[in-house]
Amino acid sequence: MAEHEDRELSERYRELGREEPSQEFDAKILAAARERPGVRRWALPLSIAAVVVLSVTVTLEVQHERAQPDNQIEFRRELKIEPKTAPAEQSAAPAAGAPAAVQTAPPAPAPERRVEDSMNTPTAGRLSREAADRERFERAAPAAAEERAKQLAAAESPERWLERIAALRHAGQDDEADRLLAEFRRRFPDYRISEATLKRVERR
Amino acid sequence: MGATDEQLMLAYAAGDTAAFEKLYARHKGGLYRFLLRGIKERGIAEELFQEIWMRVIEARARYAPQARFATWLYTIAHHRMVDHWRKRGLAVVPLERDDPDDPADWEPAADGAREPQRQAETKEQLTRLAGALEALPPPQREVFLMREEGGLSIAEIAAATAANEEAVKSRLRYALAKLRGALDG
Repeated sequence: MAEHEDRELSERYRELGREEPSQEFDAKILAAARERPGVRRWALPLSIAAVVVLSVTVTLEVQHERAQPDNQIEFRRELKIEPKTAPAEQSAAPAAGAPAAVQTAPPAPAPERRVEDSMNTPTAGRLSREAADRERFERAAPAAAEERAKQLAAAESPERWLERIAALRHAGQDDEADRLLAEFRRRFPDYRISEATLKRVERR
Repeated sequence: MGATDEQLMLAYAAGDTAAFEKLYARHKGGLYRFLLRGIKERGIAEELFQEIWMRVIEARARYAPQARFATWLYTIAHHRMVDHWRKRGLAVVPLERDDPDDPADWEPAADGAREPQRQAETKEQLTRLAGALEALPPPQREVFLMREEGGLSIAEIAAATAANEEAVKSRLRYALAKLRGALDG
């Protein structure tokens, strides 16, 4: 090993000088070392901007999605107050001896169809769906209770409507049943009532 | 006791830039002089110096301490120097050139090395030494500089230069002989 070492030569060699890279090189290299490999200087700001844009978009979308069911819920809540004036309920209430089925008959017809229908109604200008729904509801609010009942009844399915008439008929409330049956036929002129159902809803 | 080079490099790979700063401080001078005296053109040596450290930075995620960090660093440096020699049309000196009988290897290194032996002043000695070093065949100079500046062992130099240990010993032996000859005047 000694033949590959020469201490005096090494010492002399070191006296040749101890050059060092300039501070400029040091700065460049250390700056490069602080950067993540493959990541550019603009990558961080760009990714932050992308996250912000995405977050805002998602938030707005969620708010928009939430706005629709809220309106519908609010619409239903408001309508639920009204069924007391619905013709079916109005007529059923005085009948103290009416069967429980009639007493507990589902209140106001579900407004789904009505809401959907109202959604399809063109709205003027750039009203949001929420505003349009509210406008329709407010427009309907001053209507007479009977008219409201008709609207609610209109939202009920024909089968449900017939069941309600049959219940009234069974309870002996023939006049009310006749009235509703007439209204039914006016609203659902194309609906074919089966023989069995007909026996239950028509006056005997 | 401070962290080893390998520990610092692993720490840097894990995101500790301060570890890299320590590592750089340890090796920047040696590598810089290795290139400066190996290439002999400051501009190119500085360019290679930056490139080598950039390679280290880029490769940090793949770094695995299979050898000393210095060996890895000087392996990169060796490759960059070989590339440089090839660009300059200088083929890497074959092993035959290490033959002591080859006159090319024993060609006087520099005029300074032929100066009268009486000159005892350190300055003149150093001038001859610098001249001799510059005149060494690149592979011999590279081996000598790896030894002096990088502190690499024979085996590590062999690994860094993709040569066998006997060839490295031979190159180093001739380099030392020439430099000693220049030093002694």
